[in-house]
Amino acid sequence: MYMNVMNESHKHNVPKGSETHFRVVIVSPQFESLTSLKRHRLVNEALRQELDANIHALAIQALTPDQWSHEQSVNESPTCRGGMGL
Amino acid sequence: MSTNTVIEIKDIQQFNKLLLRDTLIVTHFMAEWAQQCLQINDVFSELSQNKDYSSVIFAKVSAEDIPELSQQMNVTSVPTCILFSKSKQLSRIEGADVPQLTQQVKQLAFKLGSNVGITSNASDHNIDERLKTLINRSPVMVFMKGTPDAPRCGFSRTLISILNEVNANYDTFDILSDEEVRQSLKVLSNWPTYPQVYVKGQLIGGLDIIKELKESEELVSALKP
Repeated sequence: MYMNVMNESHKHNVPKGSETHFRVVIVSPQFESLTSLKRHRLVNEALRQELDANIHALAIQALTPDQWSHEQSVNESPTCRGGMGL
Repeated sequence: MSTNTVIEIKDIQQFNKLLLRDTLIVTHFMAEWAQQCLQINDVFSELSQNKDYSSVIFAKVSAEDIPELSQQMNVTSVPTCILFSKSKQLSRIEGADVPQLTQQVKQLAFKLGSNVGITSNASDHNIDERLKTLINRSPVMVFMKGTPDAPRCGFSRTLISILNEVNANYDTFDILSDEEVRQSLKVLSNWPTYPQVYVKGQLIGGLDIIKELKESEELVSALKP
């Protein structure tokens, strides 16, 4: 099991100290036999309150332990093209 | 429905009939002797010949000749321009404010134009119906921030470039142009972020999932109609 939550707000055009743009890497055997869509939905569900309130962007990597041992890398999020309120 | 000329309203019945139309109707309450009205008339002539506004109706009313109409529309000075659609007053410009007039025509023509194109029954305001029609507008439909030529977000931009890399056929919708669609689609699909990709009316996911599909070389088949 592995989880990493990264605050990527500093990469975006928002005030310093913001907590609005995140990347989440989650590794769990619970993802076995679930499609990517279903895995992401599980993560979205767990974060529903945060998403409704503060989070503006969320990048998700949802892997099984098997996939993680092969991957072992965190993807890069694209650079921002927007600004406040977009 | 395309008019290249400005209609002259002769009586109140003609005016009221015109208002029932479901396209954008731009009216000008004027007086021949008013210099500012002549200016607005010129603007009307120009706008009516603009291809972008071929479904917009431009009409002028001599305010003094039909006083009951001026009274009904609460016109107290000329020039006064009122924009309507389906009997609803959408906007009103008093005085010769040409920038404001052209901006309102542009905004409302776009708004109404995109509605008329998407829903076959123009009086159907049901947002769910509208969303379903939008989602199915193309076998591959992308809801993004901005347009493929001018994305307004790094995630949307990356998604478009991945789709282009695999030569996908797709259509897009700019959710920044329509707040109602932006919020309602999140609820309908139970998906909190943009961009969103739909294939044959089904949500595939966002950038992360598209990237995964590309890496596992499943993207092309996932996008097949």
